[in-house]
Amino acid sequence: MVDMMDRYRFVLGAVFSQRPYRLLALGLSGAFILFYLMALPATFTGGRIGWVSLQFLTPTFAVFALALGLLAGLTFTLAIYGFRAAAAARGQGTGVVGTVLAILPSMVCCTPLVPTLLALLGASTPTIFALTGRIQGFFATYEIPILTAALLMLAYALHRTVMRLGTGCRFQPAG
Amino acid sequence: MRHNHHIAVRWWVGLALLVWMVTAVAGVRAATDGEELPVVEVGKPAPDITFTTLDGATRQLSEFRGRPVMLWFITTWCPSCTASAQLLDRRIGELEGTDLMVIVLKLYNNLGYEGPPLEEFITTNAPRLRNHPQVLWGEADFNVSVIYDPQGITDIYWLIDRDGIVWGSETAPSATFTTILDFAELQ
Repeated sequence: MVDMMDRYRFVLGAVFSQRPYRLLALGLSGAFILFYLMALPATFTGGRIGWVSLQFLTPTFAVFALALGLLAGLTFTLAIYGFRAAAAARGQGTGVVGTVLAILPSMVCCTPLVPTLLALLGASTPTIFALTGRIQGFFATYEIPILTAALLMLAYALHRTVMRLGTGCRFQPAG
Repeated sequence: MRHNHHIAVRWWVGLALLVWMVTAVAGVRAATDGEELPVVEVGKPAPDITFTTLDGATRQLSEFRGRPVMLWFITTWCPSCTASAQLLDRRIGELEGTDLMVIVLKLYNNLGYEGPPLEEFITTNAPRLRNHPQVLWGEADFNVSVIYDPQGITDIYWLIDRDGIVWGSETAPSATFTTILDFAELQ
């Protein structure tokens, strides 16, 4: 536990002592937060993202957008640092999956995406009428658990990246 | 040996695709009893349909000829439909000066996912619209759903002018209310 805390202190201290990485983390987190603030409420606008969806922002979505955006920004900043320091940033795949998973409910539910995909796959009209609702309804019903899963995946990705970067002497500061 | 295995896999995939396509074609024909359903096209007369209202009455779209109509298809589990119903409930006053008739139909079988009954959906999200003279709630059967929403897109609506000609279609009134307002004022 102490070792883990040390690694966090060591890695975060090393990365964010450098101004470019502070700016990168700020920029990435800001961009991700803004994106999630507009994307998450798109579940109420038939998938439309922008000012129109921002008007449907709820306190729950705002909290998720802040948390997801911050975690995604930090994870990607550390991953970039890792690549530059030639230390493969493990957990990157999980981070990408988490980032995408977070927007799935708003993109899948109540948009033409699922019925169009089913039609492209050659599904018959009765199949479309039965399956569309099941898929979209599932994402609508379990929106909060899905967002929570995305949040956990991003947190895990961040943890893995920090642990990897902080592995003993292999840690090389990258400028 | 490995090559033969790959060929066998391709055969099975091909066969599965063929079965899927045949089933798909047969499925839609069986479901519509083989009858050719009309296609909705912008600029063309809106196909007439019969639907059941919330009060159990049978109504026809053609009864509303002479008034602009918004024909809106929803499901009761969809967050976008919920937001749209709430917005319409809040802003119905803006449509009261117009002739617009809003017909809200729940898609056949709620698109295959259980949601609250239509009555509960209205009570929760649009109580002012339950008995509003410009709003009619009902349920669409399979054919009506397929005619006006063959892709099974929830929260889709059609705008039909006074002459029964299809003016256009959109999704999510929550995000496109100005389109509805413009259409209603134009008519």
